[in-house]
Order: sequence, then C-alpha cells, then structure tokens
Amino acid sequence: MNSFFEILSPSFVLRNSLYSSLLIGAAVPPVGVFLVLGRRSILALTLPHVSTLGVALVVWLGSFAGVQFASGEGGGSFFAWALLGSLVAMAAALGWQWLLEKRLNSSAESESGAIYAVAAAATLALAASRRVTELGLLDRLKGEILAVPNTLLMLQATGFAVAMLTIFVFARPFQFLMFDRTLCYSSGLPADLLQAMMTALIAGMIALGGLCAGPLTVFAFLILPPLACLPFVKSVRTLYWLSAATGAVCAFAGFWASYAWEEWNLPIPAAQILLLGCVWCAGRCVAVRTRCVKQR
Amino acid sequence: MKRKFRPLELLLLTIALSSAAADKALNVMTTIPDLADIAREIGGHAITVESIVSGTDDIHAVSVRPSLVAKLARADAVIEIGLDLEHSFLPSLVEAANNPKLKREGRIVVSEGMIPKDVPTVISRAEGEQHPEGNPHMNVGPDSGKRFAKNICARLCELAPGNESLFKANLKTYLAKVADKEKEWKAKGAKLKGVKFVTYHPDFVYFSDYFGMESVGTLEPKPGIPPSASHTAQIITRLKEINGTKLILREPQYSDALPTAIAAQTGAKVVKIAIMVDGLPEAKTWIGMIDANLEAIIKALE
Repeated sequence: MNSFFEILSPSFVLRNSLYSSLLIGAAVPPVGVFLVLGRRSILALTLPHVSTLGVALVVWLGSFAGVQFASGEGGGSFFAWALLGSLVAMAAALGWQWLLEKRLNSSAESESGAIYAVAAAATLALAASRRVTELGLLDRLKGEILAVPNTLLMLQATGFAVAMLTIFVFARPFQFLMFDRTLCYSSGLPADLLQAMMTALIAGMIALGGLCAGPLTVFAFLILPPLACLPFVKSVRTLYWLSAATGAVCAFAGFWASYAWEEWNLPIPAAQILLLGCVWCAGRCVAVRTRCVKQR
Repeated sequence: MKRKFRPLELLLLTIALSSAAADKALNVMTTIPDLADIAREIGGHAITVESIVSGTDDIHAVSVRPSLVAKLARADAVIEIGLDLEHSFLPSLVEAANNPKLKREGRIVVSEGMIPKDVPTVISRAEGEQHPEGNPHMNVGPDSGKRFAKNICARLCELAPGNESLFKANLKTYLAKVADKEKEWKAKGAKLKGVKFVTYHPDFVYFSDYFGMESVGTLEPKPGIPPSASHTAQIITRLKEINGTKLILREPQYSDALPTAIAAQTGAKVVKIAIMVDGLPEAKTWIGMIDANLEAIIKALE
C-alpha cells in the first residue's frame, strides 16, 4: 500500500504523468460516447492514426528545413507544431471522407478503414526514414506518458476543460445529432454546425491525448469505457459521467499497477488498457445475461 | 589497315575498362558506419565500402530492406562487430542474399580476440534483450579502434593478397594517428573521472570505463525493455541524491522527451552523444566520434 500513498503525494516524482493519465481517463471517454452511440467506432481507430501521421509529417518536413524540434521544459515548439500537424491531418482526412460520402454515397465505415490503412502505412514509412529516426520519432508515436512536461499538461488540462464544458452545454443537441439527424433539422438546430463542433471536439481530444499517450491508448479510452457502461445506464447524460468515472478509475489503477508491480515492467498504457478490457468484459457479460433473462 | 573507332565503340570500351577496374576493388559492406570508416582507412582505393545502417539508426531494430539484400548479394565481404550486436538484421540479410562468400571467408568479425565487458552470468529472457557473449557496443570505446583496424587489415590481406603491402602501410599510418589521438583523449578525458551519468541503453560502457566515469543506471529497466514508471522514479530518486554534476547522456535514436523531463526534476544536464559514426554532425569518422563525445561531455561539465 506504500506505493499507493506515494503516488498520491504532491511531491511524487511522476506526478505529471499521473495527472495526464487521469485527464485522459476522465475526458476522452465522454467524447467516445458520440462515436459508440453514433456507430462510428472505426473513426476512433482511424483518427488517432491520422493524428500520428500528422506528427510524423511535421517532424519529417521539419528535418528537410533543418528544424530541430525541442521538447520538454526547454521549449514547447515541438508540441505546438505536433498539435498543428495532427489537427491539419485529421481535418484533411475528415474532409476527404466527407467528400467521398457526399459525392459517391459510399459508407463511412469503409472509407474510414481505407484512410486508417493508408495513414498507418504512411506513418510507418516516415518513421523508417533515416532523416527522422534521429529524433526518436518512434518513441513519440508510441506516446511518452512518462515524460509529460508542464507546458503540455497545462495545454491538455485547458483543452479537456473546454471539451467537457462543450459537452455539458450542448449535450441535448449532440444527442439529436447522434440518433436522428432529421430530428435535428426539424427542431431548427444547425445540424451541420453541430456536426462540425462534434468533429472538432473529437479531433481535439485525440490530438491532445495522442501527444501524451499515443494512438492506442486514446483509441482504447474512446471506445472501452462507453461500451462497458452502456448496460448500466438509462440516459446519455449518465453514460457521459459514468464512462468518465470508469476511465479515470482505470487510468489511476493502471498507473498504480504499473508503478507498484516493479518486476513486471508493465508499460502504463498497457496496464490501463488491460484494466479497461476487464471492465469491458464484465460489462458485456452483464449485458448478455440481462438480455437472456429478458428473453426468457 | 588503320581502324578508326566510332564514338559508340569508344563509349562501350570506356565503360568496359572502368567496370574492369572497379571489379578489382573489393566490394565491402559493413554493418555500422564506424567499421566503414576504419575499413576505408585501411583499404584505401583497393576497396569500396558501404554501411548497412546509419549513425542514427537503432542497431537493435534495423528493418531489413530488399535493396540491402541486393547489395550483400554482390559483396565480397561483410564486416561486423559480432557479439550478437547485429542479430536483428545481419543473419536474415546474409541468408536472403545467398552469397557463399559471406558465409565463409568474406565474414569479418572485428571483435575477435577482444575481451567483452558485462558478460551475463545468467542467461534468461526475463533479463531483457541479453547479449550472451557480453556487451557488444565496443565501437564507442577509444581503445577499440586499433584492434578493429588490425583485424580488418588481417582479413583484407587474406581476401586480396595482391594489395597486402598497401593495406599494411595504411594500417601503420592509421595506428599512428589513433595512438596520437589516444594521448590527447587521455589528457582531455582526465576531467571525466568519477562523473556520474545515466544513459538510455547500456551502450556507453566501453567509453565510460576508459575514462573512469560512473554509471548511475539506464533509463531502460533491462536492455531492450522500455522505461517503466517505477524504474523511472528510481532513476529520478538516485539522480536527486547525487551532489554535484550529473549527466543524462542521450543516444540519438531515442527521444529526448524522457531525458529532458528527468533533467528538469533532478538538475542533471542532458548531453547528446553519438554511439555510431554520423550520430552527431561532428562525428564524421570513428576518431571524430570519440572527439565529439568527449567534447560534448567536457562542455557539459564546464
């Protein structure tokens, strides 16, 4: 138990990593509710990879211009550029997908899948390029939750606070948009503007979360908590808060497990995702059992 | 009858003659740029040299590309450090190249006859990415260059006996150059004795032992295992306990984010070092790499 109280101490040496984990755990799952209920989960897989492609592109292009990105306390230039690259790449991918859906009437899922494949391959190709390996790009793409500087933590906290506030204020219009776009139009709500807001929210969370924890962690926190909590809630609003609480608890417990079980050398994201996986399995088991009972 | 050559014939003749000349030169591939540099010094114009990996690559995770297979298929020799340093890519490349020379006389292992450090007493997968024969990062050691050069020279003489005198003369010149440099390194490096440092991976042992530096640990809990929360916290605590100068030596293939974050908490200085030639802009040759590392550390101490 010593390690439990140790990580709660304000002087804990990895406090930035812990706070960043908690922020991701609490703020990312409510955004994932849009994707789960809107049946667009594959977008949660695609966008973090597009985001990492944006980061890789920025570093790669910077290497041609002779730019050495500084990170950490000494300079926030890397994070500013990486955030910009990530957001631009996601905007481009979403724009392309929107165009294909509108003009070719193709399915969003298949286009998302195609974008994912291309983005992942392009990122691998860039990461293997000799020009950028020098910058430890692979480490950055995997996420470096152990090395979150104050600048990034502050940026993350501000961004996530804005996102949570937006969800709180626009909870009902977003629900209309998720379940019935026509209802949204007939209620006089600006559906296109709301859609743009929701997409920006999702992209912003992925960009900020991905910079700290990497694409896999963000994907897991987007999908697993809402899915795990779904059988236990009766309203969307409750789903937001319950998935946020589940995400935060798993983020904390995963961090603690990684810290306490020294001999396992568990990476923090892996510990957190495994815990989320357990919660998800339990949630799905309850859902299956409830359905079986109802059918009887 | 006097025959006049037409331009096309002359061009073909020139190409044939130049390719014949190139054929005479031994086509040598090396695993790391350090060996390419030393081989170039010894082989001179009698060999052509190319390195498989670049100075900023992670030697433990080199991706095998088809172009490398083609190059090895045409090579007369491949020079490697050995001690399993190149285990992630060389065996599969040599197998795929199917070049019989590289399986026999053309395989040059420069660590032969040298005594490796950190030979594990227990071989276990639980201990991370172990090298059973010892730490293979010999190329960063200032005293390794002479031995590498001698081993390369001996094997090149066997492969191209016609150029033996050239190789031996080049070796003599190179050894003299390294001996002069070693005197300079010893004088300059006296300031490094007792300096405490951390690296990401245990790849700086041969350099630090030569100058009497003291390792506080590595950011990896075990070789090849990424930094974990508990281990990072231990390293931070250990660095905080040290009074005086402490350094975090960052290898170019790893991100600077974690070293920078640790430095911010502990007051340690982050120094970018090269663990292979071309790992730093100033490290253009093997001698240049040792110079660059020494200068970077001395500058940080000042």
